[in-house]
Amino acid sequence: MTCARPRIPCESSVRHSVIALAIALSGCSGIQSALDPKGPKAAGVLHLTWFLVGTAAVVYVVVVAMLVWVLRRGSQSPVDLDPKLGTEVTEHHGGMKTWVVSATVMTTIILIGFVFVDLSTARSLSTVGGAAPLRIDVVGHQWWWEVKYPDPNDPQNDIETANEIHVPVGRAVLIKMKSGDVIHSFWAPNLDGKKDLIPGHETVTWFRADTVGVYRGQCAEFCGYEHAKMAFYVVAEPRIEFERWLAQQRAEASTPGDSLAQGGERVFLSSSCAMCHSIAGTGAGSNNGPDLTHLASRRTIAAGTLPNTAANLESWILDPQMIKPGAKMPANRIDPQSLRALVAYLQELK
Amino acid sequence: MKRRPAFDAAALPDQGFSHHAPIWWGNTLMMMIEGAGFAILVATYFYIRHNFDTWPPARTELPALPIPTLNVAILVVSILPMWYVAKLALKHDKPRTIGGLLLLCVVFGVVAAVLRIFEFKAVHTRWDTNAYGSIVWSILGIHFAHILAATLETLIIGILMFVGPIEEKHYVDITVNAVYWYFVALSWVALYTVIFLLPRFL
Amino acid sequence: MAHAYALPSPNEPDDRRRFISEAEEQDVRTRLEQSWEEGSGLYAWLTSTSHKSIAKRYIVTALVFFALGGIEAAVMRVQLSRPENHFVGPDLYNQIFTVHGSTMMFLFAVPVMEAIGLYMVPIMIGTRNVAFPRLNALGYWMYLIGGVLLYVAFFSNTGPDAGWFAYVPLAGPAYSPGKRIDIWAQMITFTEIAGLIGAVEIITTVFKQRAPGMSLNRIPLFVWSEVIMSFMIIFALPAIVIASGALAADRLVDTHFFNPAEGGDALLWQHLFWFFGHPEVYIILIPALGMISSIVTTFTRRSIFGYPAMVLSLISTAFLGFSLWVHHMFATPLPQLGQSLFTAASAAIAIPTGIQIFCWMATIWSGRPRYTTAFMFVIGFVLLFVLGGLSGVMISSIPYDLQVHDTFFVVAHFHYVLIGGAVFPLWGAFYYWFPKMTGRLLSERAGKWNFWLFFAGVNLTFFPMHFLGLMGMPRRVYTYLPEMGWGNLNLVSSIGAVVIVASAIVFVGNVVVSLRGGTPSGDNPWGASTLEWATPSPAPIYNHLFIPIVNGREPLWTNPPGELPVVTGLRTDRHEGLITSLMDAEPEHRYEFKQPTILPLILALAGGGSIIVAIFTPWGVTIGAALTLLILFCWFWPTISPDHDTPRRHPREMP
Repeated sequence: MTCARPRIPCESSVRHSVIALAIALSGCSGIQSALDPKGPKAAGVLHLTWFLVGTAAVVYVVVVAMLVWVLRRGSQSPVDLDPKLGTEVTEHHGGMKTWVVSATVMTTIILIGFVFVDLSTARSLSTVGGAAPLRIDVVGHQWWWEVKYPDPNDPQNDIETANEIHVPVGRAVLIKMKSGDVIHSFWAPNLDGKKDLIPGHETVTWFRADTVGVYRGQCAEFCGYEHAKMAFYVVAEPRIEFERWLAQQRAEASTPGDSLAQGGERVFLSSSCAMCHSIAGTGAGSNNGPDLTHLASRRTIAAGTLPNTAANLESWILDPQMIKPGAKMPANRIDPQSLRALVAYLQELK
Repeated sequence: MKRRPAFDAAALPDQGFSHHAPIWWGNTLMMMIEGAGFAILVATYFYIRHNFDTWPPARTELPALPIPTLNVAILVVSILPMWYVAKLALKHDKPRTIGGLLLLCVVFGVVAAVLRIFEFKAVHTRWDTNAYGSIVWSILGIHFAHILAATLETLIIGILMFVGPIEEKHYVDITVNAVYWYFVALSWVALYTVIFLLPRFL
Repeated sequence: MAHAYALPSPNEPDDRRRFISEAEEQDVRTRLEQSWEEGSGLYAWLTSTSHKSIAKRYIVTALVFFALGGIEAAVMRVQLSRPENHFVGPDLYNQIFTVHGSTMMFLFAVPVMEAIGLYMVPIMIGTRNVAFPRLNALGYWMYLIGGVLLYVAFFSNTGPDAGWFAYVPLAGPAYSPGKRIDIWAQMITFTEIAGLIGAVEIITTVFKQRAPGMSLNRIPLFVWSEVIMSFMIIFALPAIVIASGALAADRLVDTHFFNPAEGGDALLWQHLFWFFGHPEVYIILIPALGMISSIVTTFTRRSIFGYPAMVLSLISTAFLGFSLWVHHMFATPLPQLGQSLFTAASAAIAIPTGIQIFCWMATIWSGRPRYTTAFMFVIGFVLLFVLGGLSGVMISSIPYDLQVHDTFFVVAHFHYVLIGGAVFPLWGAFYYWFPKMTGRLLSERAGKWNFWLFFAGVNLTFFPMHFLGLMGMPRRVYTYLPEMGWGNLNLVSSIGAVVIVASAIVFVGNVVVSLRGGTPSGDNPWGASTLEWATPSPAPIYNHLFIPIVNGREPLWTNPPGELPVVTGLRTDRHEGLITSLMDAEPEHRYEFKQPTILPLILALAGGGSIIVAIFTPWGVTIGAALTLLILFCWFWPTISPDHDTPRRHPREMP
């Protein structure tokens, strides 16, 4: 499902809420759900899940049935055994020993079965599912995702963006991950299980999206104040659209069209924005915060917290602490006119 | 409840030695706790080692050998007078003899403590230089606390042997203190090997 | 093996028996009351070395912390009941879930399990006090100071906020400025000292002070469980002591244990923490399993089937518990082959626990169940714990875990196993042993309400969380977006929390009303078989008038009813107990328990004070060491005991 206007998220909020309601009632699908796999790894895990849940349910029912049975049978026992024999029961009831031993053996067999299925699933999911995987680098920060597409042939072609990953459908993606500060965890359940980003280590994971769609992921290792609002989107699109997106991302920032946007560019470059954010082709080159060169091509801002609209951009720039208290971006004193100009400029950065 | 007397405890002795005494168990469990602690420190040492290409890390000299080797020898040798003290205590020998020997052990302990201070220098690194320095100083430091505690404990009992009054259970305490002393000395043999010898050979 | 004392046989003709006369008993009772009496008033309370008094403090304090932890949970449930709720902001929420976890694990679960042991074990094995009464008191004061430290910090907005597991580098000096984490690290120091002290007490007491005849194969299963828990504590707690010490050092004096830039490693913290953290949950579970054995025995009126299997399976659980820790780290870059070993071990630990459950079932089958509240909690245990155990086996699978790790699925799992596996048996133990502790019965009617509300509340709160995790909801999030579709299940879960609160209110009401005017229980209201029921309720400060002698696993059922063979000849003018051998509990010698003293409190204040100073400056360690040594000097300096048996000898008088 692609959109002509990338400034608003593909599923508009209203439509999204309706879908979400249906999802909640059905429980089985969703844009951030392990129950709705869109790639082989998540699908493999879901098969395993049904096996585990099914077996566990059967075992549980059996255990409860056994409990009910022994309670009922027990109510028919005499209150006390013959005092001459004391309360030692073993000499009377050899069947009890058989029962305990058989139950233990059954448990062991079931557990061995579990472990076998676990290990073979793990093995089948560990080899990268496809030749020549697309390589993406992700760096985790408090509380946003730095995303890079390195070009092995020409570093000039490296792409940098934030909080949104585009992948071609049907091609394996290899993600190498580092952390810029604390431990984070990269998790898009529709596609794959999670992998931690640990400072001092480089971690690797792979996935493949087999269905076109937009999937949401979220940081899954507590990383401080706004861990709850560190999401990202994975956009799986047909190869042609993906190439188009790549080319667009490689370009330098579009020059502002009208005088409002030009004024906005001046606001950006002359205020504290440029101290943290880079826009390729301008003088701003800091990477404390997300790269904004193609901000307008992204669906959300603030790491998936808000849809990327003019109104949201204005609120965010004016005071990020109202939306994401603790975020590293300070509030900005900026008059309404300059703010409008700035947002107009940012919205042209496709 | 009607109670039928089936054993008369009045004739039983007041004290027991070795594993018959609760204090022996208290001491043994304490050694297990501290031994587990030392084991974790050693495991941490080897874990940190994997993060360095060379060991000790680049620009850090190998730990010096003379003073540390002297110290481990002193600790091991100090086992002898302590062992003898314990033997005398089992026989309820003269308190002054026992007290004198205990004070001799205290001298060993003080010497070991003083040498330990030099050992902190001998490792040619600081606790805040890098993770190597942190773990090495931690092992040296935590064991240092053990030397101090054992020496002080021995001093208290040693003084008691001169000042009195002596009770039966003090002889038990002396034997238990001796076991702790062996632990402090022998654990250092292992830790000395890890810090001072292994970097030279592995 | 020849025994030094006459074993009673149930079939002896009457004329060979001689019972201690009532007058003789009253004489002994008066003398014991006199010599053991501690008096009333604040000073007596502060200097007490009575194991029951100290254990009662532990239990009450632990329950207060349980209530506080429950309130924290309730606040979290309110905040999460709706998407984008504004009940609490992120900073407070992060402190709340950290303090909730730390409270439940460090300040409630382990202390209460040890405390029930410190209370009941000496009575159950027939001795008068724990081996080191002053050390026991010290343990309580350290625990109390540690808990107060955490809550003073929390209530002044300086509560730790990096999770109860405090992963670095988030909890390190760079990303957690201020003193929040230092306070957390030192709270750990206090509670771990208390935990280790309790473990030393329990092991030493059980090994050396059992009633004559109580050989290893006659020890009540609850006592076994306390001993095994204690050994786990001995080997697990040093890991967190070192971990928290290293963290405090990184923060305070610039060590680099966890600093990757200088050769340290963030994963090192995880290994150290979970090497403690996984055994920790079995430390909590194993005593609960022991409580169940006591309850099942009494309310089916049968000895537990398969005693050796029961003991061996507890021991196996303890050993296996140390081999699972990496299953908390499946999402880290550890080699997969190594991780797979932990999958197998994590599944394997279900086997010994399964054996326990099968043996209980066999016991129930052969016996006659009585559906008292305590027994209902055991049934609740099976229903909840088995469910939690099955979800645990699921997450032992690496691919599955990688989806649900750090989501609400895991939250559901561990609450089912902790509440079902530990809290339910604990509540059963309360209903079972409350009469022994207080002399009054809890209301069975209110108890049934307590049970059903608790059972329903737990399921309502935590079952939906399994789905939330699979539907993508991570843990430790203070809010979530409406379009995620998690609102309905969260609301159900929060309603469940209200039901749990209701059950807690019923419990507190039951306790308060029963303390005032509950039915007096008498010595043995349940007709149980173990030694704690052979003495009045509540037990006198010296526990048993005469140390009992034991001839079977269920002494009160194998002796003729109302009769007990006992030990005579122990002194009543000082606190004297009997030391017996490790394996067969044959009498070896007499032992003097230390009398009340203010020293434990002083040492706790001095040592505790310097630990707290160490939050701010490393000189706290040096000052503390000096103070501690000084006080220990006074502690160990011999006291003059009046009219001692062994003549006091002065060195000059001796040859």
